[in-house]
Amino acid sequence: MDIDLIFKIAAIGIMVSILNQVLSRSGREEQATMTTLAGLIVVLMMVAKEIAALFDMLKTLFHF
Amino acid sequence: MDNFIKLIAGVLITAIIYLILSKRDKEITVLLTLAVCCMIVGIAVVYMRPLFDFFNDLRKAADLNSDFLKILLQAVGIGLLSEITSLICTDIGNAAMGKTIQIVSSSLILYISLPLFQKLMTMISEIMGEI
Repeated sequence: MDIDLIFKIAAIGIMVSILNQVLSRSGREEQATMTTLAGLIVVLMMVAKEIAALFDMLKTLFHF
Repeated sequence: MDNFIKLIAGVLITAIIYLILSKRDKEITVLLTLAVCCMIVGIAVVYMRPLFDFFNDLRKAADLNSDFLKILLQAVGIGLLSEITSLICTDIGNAAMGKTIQIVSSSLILYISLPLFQKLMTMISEIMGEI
């Protein structure tokens, strides 16, 4: 089990929330939203690889 | 056994990270949950593989049709995937989607089991014919 992925997602989450706070307090709400969205897309791409690997494994094992 | 201990450690670490992130960034916590669920099922699959090989050996020893085991395994796979998806949807707060997935998976399991029911009907007809 690759625990690194959990730490990467957590690190991105913390970074995004800090940047969101900083940008919101500076009055740049739109840029804060864009930063959150960018972080979400990055994490989604990382998770999509895991989901694809899981589906391949399940396809082989359960004879789909 | 090592994998199981790593799994426990990973889940506990994720639970703590979830607590920290949930107040700030709920969207990423959902993706984190999804990633960890995929990993857990991946490890479970590693332990299931020899079990399914054993089922295959039993099927060969009993001289059963391979289609029946295939249908059973597909039903288990569909149930597993739909349950995980439904739980994640409920966690997000979208129970409607989760329930809908469960309804679809039940229908799909019945659909793939149709050959079994047809075989059963044929056997009953043959027995009734003989009587």
